[in-house]
Amino acid sequence: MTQAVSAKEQMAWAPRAGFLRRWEQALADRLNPLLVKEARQGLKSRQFAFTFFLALVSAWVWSLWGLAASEFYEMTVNQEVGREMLMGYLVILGVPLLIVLPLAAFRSMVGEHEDGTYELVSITGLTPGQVVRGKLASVLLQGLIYFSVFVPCVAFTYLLGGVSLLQIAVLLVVGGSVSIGLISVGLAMAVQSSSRHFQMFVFVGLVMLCMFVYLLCMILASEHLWWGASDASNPEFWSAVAWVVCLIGCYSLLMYSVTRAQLIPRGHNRSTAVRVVMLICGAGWVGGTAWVVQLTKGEYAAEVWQLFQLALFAHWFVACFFILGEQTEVTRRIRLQAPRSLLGKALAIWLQPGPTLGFFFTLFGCAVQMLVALLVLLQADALRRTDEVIAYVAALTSYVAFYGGMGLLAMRLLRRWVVPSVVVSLVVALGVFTLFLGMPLMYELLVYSVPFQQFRWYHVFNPVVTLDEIDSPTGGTWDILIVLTPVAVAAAGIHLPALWREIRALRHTIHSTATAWPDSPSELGSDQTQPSHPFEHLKSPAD
Amino acid sequence: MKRSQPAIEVYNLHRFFGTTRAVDDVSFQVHPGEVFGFIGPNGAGKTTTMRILATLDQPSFGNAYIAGFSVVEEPEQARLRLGFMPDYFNTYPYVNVWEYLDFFARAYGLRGARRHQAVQEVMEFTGLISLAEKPTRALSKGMKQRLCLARALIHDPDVLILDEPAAGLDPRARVELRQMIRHLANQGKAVLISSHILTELGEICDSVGIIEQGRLKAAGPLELIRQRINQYSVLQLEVLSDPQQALGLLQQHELVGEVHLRNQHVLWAQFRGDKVQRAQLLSYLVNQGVKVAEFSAQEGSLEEVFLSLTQGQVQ
Repeated sequence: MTQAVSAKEQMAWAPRAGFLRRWEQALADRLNPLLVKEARQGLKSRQFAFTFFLALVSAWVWSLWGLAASEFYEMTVNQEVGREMLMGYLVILGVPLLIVLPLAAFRSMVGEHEDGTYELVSITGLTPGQVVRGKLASVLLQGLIYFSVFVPCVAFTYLLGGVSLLQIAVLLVVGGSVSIGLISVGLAMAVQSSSRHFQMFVFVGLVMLCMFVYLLCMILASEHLWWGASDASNPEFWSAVAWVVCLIGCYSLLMYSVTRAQLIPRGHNRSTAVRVVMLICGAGWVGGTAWVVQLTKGEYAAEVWQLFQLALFAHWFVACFFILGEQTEVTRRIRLQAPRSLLGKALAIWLQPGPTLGFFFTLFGCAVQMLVALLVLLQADALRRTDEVIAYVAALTSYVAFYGGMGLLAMRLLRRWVVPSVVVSLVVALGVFTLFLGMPLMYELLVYSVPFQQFRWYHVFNPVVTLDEIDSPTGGTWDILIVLTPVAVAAAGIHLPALWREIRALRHTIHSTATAWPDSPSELGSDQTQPSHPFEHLKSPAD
Repeated sequence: MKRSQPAIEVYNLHRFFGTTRAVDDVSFQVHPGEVFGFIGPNGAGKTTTMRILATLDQPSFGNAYIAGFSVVEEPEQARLRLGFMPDYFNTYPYVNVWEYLDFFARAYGLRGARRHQAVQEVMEFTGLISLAEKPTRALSKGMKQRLCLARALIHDPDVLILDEPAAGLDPRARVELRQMIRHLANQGKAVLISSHILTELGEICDSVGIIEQGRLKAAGPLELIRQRINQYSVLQLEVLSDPQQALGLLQQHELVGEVHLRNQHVLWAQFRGDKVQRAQLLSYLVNQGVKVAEFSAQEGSLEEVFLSLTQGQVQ
């Protein structure tokens, strides 16, 4: 009887089970192949087993120690216990999420190139975007496994009291976002150079960055746990959290597109997507500016606005130097994908590959976004000195033009001997900074012993001194701009012929491609276009 | 034999690295079912050409087509139709043979039962079934080479590009590889193969391309190349009649070079001509009353052709 019922039940379940199996199969088929492979490979690795075991043991030890301590001090119902326990768990969980995973992502990507396996992957149907997403997803899967260990522990701290669900949620969401950001940075850094020495250097840099971010996150988490209990009722707190998460998301997207671009074969368009994301990140800072200006309601609006403009300047300044390392070669592939419509040529031409186009893109991007931010400030009517903020925008934009122009000039000279890359861009940046910032500093130290005591003409190249001078009520703002702006215009202007050449190369080749080279073998078949075969006479009569 | 549209078409391919012309105006075609041997000294430009065909590099000038798709304009389409086996056998150490092939099957977009079938079939073809669960790091070089061939075949490509596939293999593995390649060609796949072992290529290839300093010195069926470079084949004749008569007739023939009387009945003659012309020569001798007991031709090997076309220069 029991067997009969069981058989009946099985028959009733069979179609559903079959459906589930098919659904599961279909889902498994649609998973990113790299995620499947990395999951199989990564979860078998010693690194994961060791870190996971260590995190597990640490969580247990902390739980037992925390409980024992709270018993000892008779603090079982004391509100501090949950808070302190949670902080301890965050300190432990932060190590795999903010240090181990970014480094694992870095090693995983470097390993593909070192072992020569990436070439084999690149000629499959997988796109560079799928490769990066696969790597990212596999590392996040590891993160999820680490996190699963801590879920009961975090729930336990909530039961102990002292922390609200909202506080826990905020910490985990922000922590998770920072982790994704660092993993993206790790992936982006891994593909910048195949040189072992450079990778060692980058690895050390990544370790330091991860540790710095880890410490910063722990300080902010403790600040929030101990002093931020009332933050939940404050809408400004939530908008700040949302903005920070959005900004981290934007820069993660930038890192993703940079990694993807590096994996795209040389000769293809690597630039457009990265430049679009650069604009989005810049817009993130402009949005932040608008929000802060509205929030401060005019009280400290100009000061906070200046801080955000410095961040926006840093964004475009760094972007400019990275773009200088772009390829100059305009291949047929790039030409074919270049915009053809009038509107497309006018707008999207700035998104096409080429160092000079890239330089002017960053310059225009910086200028336009700073002007938008300036309009936001003007609209809020929160100005004490209008000339000060206008001078700020002019000076910051001029610095992008001047240093970018000088960098591009140096890069153009270096292209004769070296192939441009991120490493070369960094060397160029270092050289330009040494020339215009380091040398005057050295000069002042040697001649006057104490630098920057008095504003001198060569300080005009130093943004720190100049902005401080502009900020000062007694500063000679316009004297500085009279020197700085023409110099910046000249630095950018010398590249106008090169800009024209790059634009013409894109336009010229779009028209000439069809006649210069046949696009398909069928065209080759026609008598007019078929190139002469050098060994035609060797073909057998059967051909 | 009526041949269809070429599976590989290379037109005026150039690849410059600074002032070095790694590939300099290379053109050739490979048809479905054909095994094309790519021969040249180290640094001649073989690997660069193969990498361009595999869409791993871009030509400075010229174009190449894989199954009709340009490697420059439509590399995504070309990739789906080619299987590339580079001259290194790197694999993922922490996955087993089945997982490795399953990954590449997924990467080529194979799904569900089709993927399982593809993995099963290539493992059977390359003899890896018994090693399915073995980690790739534990495989011997010969087995890794089979695994790489299986990977290149997983999506059933029309074109196979094999860069030095026999390098470092023992004699048995080489023979097995040769058989597999011949089998694949018989299935209609176009195979472009490079190797330094010319005797092996001579046995397996339908046609060859000889490259040196980036320039293709010759391409096509070996016999036609031999004719082009005026290379003689050696005829051996055993005559039962007067050998002096045969000697005189041969010396007068326009396609015959030097003739030697090796002994009382056997003659050696240098002959420049194809099979048809050889048959005509035999017929001529018989018609002139020469009693021919044996008539055989020894053609110059691929090595001889290679050495006569190249100077051993590298760039």
